[in-house]
Amino acid sequence: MSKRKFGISFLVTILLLTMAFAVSAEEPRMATWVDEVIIVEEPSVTTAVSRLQAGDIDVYATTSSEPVPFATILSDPNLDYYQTFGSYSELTFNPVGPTFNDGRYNPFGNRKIREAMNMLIDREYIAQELYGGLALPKALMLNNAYVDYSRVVETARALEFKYAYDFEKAKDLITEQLLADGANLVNGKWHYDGQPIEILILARSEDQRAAVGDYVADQLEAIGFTTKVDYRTGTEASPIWMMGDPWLGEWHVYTGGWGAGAVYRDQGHLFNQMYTRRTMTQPLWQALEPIPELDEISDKLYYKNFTSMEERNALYSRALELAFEDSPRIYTVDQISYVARRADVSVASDLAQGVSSTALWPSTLRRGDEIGGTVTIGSAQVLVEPWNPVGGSNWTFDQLPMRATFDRGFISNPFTGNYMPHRIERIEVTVQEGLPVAKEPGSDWVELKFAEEIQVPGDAWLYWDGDQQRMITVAEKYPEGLTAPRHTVVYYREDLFDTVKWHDGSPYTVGDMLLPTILDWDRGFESSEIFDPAAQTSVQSAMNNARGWRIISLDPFVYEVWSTSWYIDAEQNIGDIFAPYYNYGAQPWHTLAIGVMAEAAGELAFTASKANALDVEWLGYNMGPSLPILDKHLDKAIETNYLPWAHFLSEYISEEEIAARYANAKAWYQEKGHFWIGNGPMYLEAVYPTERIVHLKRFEDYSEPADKWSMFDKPRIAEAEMFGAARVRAGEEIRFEVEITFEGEPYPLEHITEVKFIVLDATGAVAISGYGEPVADGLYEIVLTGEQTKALPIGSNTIEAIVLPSLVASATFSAHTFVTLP
Amino acid sequence: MQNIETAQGQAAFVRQRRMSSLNRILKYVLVRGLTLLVTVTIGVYLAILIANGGGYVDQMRIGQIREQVSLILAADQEMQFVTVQERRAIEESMIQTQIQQLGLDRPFAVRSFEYLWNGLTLNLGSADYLLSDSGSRQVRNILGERLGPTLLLMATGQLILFFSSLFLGLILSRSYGSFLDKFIIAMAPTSSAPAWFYGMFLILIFAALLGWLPFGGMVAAPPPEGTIARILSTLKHMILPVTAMVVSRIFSSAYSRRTFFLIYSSEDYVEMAKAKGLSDREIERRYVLRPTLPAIITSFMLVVIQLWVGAIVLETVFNWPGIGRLTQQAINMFDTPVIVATTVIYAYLLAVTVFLLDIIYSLVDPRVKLGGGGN
Repeated sequence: MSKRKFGISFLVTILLLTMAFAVSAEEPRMATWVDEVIIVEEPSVTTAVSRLQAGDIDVYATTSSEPVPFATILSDPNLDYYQTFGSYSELTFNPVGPTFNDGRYNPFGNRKIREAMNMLIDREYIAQELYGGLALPKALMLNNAYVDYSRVVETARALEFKYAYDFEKAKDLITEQLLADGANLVNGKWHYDGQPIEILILARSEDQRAAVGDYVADQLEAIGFTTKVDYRTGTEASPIWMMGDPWLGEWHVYTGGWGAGAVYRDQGHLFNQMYTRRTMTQPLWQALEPIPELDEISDKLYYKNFTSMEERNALYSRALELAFEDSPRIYTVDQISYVARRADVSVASDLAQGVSSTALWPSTLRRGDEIGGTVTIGSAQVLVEPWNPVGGSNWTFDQLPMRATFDRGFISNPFTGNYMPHRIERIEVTVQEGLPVAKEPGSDWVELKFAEEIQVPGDAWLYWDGDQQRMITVAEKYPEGLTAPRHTVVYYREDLFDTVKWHDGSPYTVGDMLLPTILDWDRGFESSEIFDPAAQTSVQSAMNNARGWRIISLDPFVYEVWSTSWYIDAEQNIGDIFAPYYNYGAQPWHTLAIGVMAEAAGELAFTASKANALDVEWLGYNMGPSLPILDKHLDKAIETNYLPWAHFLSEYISEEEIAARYANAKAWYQEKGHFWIGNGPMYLEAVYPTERIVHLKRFEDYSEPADKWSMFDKPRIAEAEMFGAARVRAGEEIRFEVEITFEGEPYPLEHITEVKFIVLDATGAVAISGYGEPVADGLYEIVLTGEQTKALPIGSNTIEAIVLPSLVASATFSAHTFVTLP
Repeated sequence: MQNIETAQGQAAFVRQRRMSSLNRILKYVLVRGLTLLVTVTIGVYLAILIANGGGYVDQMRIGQIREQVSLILAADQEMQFVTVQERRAIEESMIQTQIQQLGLDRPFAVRSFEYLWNGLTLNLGSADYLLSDSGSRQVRNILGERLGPTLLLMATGQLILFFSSLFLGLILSRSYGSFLDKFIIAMAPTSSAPAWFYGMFLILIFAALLGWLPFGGMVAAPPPEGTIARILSTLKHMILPVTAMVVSRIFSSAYSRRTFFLIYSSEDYVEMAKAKGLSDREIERRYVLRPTLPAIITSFMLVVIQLWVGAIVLETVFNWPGIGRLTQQAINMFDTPVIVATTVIYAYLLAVTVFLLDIIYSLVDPRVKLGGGGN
């Protein structure tokens, strides 16, 4: 080889090595894909969609159910949307009777008439015609997007068939009951005591429920009632239906609506809320006369008085049946709402409430494959109330930017509602034997154990006593010993204190866990200088229910907690003090400390109620008149190296840390002009209160890669199609195939929990149920044996497959009708 | 001697006349002031009664509180681990705390007079629910933060409208029967549509289709750095709403001014001035504009106080952070302190304007005399 060739070869080698090194050394993108997020106010969804079309905004985070803008989204290839299922509508009946105080007859005091009303209304019509297709018919209390529906799907489907729209049947049943109650039909109109029976329908005027009120009136008129529809806003209607005395007979039917704030893993508590007197204290609920068995089961489900999931499912199924028989309210539709976006922008969106409700939105927000850039998000409101983690704004509009700015120990899965570890490495959960707690397959971070009895050690801290200004131990309050149904040991990641940083540069320390904990307790004691009457009752209750906690190791941080509360998902039996004020954001101990100073001085208050009582400003770390007051107290804190509850906290927070923290906060305030210091993937660059704009920027020191939660950019709701023969002879085997796909691709078997099936006969009764067998990715097979087909009634039958993926809580249904021949 | 006596008599007469005028003016100021104060008091109290539905709103607010607290606790999974009695105690405590803080535990009749007194003495206090844009509860801050944007938008729009319609009216009155005159008359019925209606069309054309101007808001997001850039951005955001305001009213306003000037132009004394050979400009200035001055001033003053009110729908359509939207929010939320504050300030401004107009009339129109019993 010549020198020249050698030289060239050498240079090429060096060049290749350099390139290879450069590629391998390329840092993964941290925190978020985008550099900046601008959140602007846009109250109108119609205008928001126009702005999306014009590229003026990229995502409209406020969910909507308006059909006209939705049609625009569907027709524009540049736009797309995410669905949410959090809201549902119903008809509430005035259940008292048979007559009101003034002697007027109330047909809905008759349970059988209420039950028949389920069949008098056509839910499909309401969903398609009145809600413009942006709703799904709903007969049960359960939302089929949530996991509880799939747990009792056989009963659920059978009840849906049983109570499906059947005008004639409903009319006959109601007629029978009216005659039995002494009403009579005169010239096609029902009368009681010589007077026409007039039904007063209280219809909400703000949305489609006004039209639902009209529809219900039409249906009731069609069977002979005289009706009157009174359209009112929620505020106007509340004193009548909810607060008014039902015996006054000011209304018969109310077009109600409810919303879910999250994807529920356990909706068992809802029976008590909807059918008994226990949860809601308003006069309407106190007038309920629930079927005793329903009343009993509801309470069992509320307090989780069952020992296995089988027992729970049996209770649940029975409660659903009884709920139809009682029917103080009947359900009409699950509303489908949408989060509009430009098609090239993706972001995680919670199945219950959309983008605003998930902590994952900042890290998943991305325009195509772009790295960097700015995304503009529209929101119906911006900067509604002041932000502070103790008692600040909990508006979903404020949660949107707030959620981007603070980090968490665990993250709630936006599609299933279950928990996933984030700053937590693993947990050990021990529950009392007999409690039906189970973990999901693949939850390797959870170790689940059962114990006959769980004793709480005497040296565990029980609570902070504001009067004595110290931690009370279990042994002090319960010298005879204390047990708890659940014990959790939480292991945080070993790199926790090395990697987590606050936006002002301060490293996260154990003080950020302990100070908020003490603050939360202290403000419930009258002797505290930051006493807040609004906190007193809940603190008293928490003291009674506390079972203890203890720090096992400071670094790595490990602690254990004992509790009276437990959840059927092992993953949810967690205790997290990494971000104590989960709903209201998070703040480092040093800004909380200056807030404590300001409240103690009577100049600001953490909660709106205390601010009202003292006639001072409500503390806001993000904007407004609080800022100069906080700055003044920061200066005082710097002067005195102030540490609240120093006799306790000085063991964990050094003098140097105190000084450094306040210096960082001062520098931050001077640069940014606010005190909202978080530790999330984005920081608050600026707020413009009058202009209603929030400016967020990527926090470059955030330790987690941007692609950590990439799998949540879209919900993998399965699509299913069923194939099989159209007829079978009784006694012969028949096979059906269920094709399961997502966006045209086979759904991986590993992400399908199970495929159930039910066979419904011509009357809607469940004749057979069972499970399908996996064949390949995206393919399941269902086999009905000869014995099974022999047992089927001759004639038309419907087989329905229910696909339950593990990636989303929503079940997918597919049906196939076949004929059984003799 | 006689001259001296005569002079003294004249001086005494002048003094007496001056005293008489002073007494008359003072008496007028006192009576007029008291009358206006009574009117303002009645107006504000009526606003309080209406805004609170005669006290019925209390029931609605208590209902809302109960509903919200119940729902908060119903959604709280931790409540599953306390007894029903404990839960009820927590709920009732939360409800009573809120009821007391809003003063709903005291009779509305008592509170209505407190609202009235606080309003009349401009002790605006704290809002019940609303917060200022920056999160303050003080009503003065809530109104103060919105006043600037409202004045900016409304003053620009209304003043452009006022002066352009005034001059256009004058031009039309001079060119009666011309094409321009006929065009403006033909276009006058278009003013039956409100400004927000034109606003929506303007947004559709210039923001959605052409993309030249912003959909709404007060400034670009994020706001540009530097004062000049920010002013320019604000001006750009004002183009559509101001245009909507002007377009919606310019034709009818110009038409009415033109008619007004034409009526005055056909008075006998104008004909006489023309016969005397005075120039058109002099006739217009001395014989047309001067007698119409009180009416123009009245109109101008009403425009000025109207600026305070804002424009509810226009501000909503253009997402402009003004007092109009704030008032609407306050009414929807039954926030009495804010409703009282906006009402009382408007009432005071109106009363002062009416009072000032009386004085201005006497200055610009020699036929008007303060307290002159209608002379």
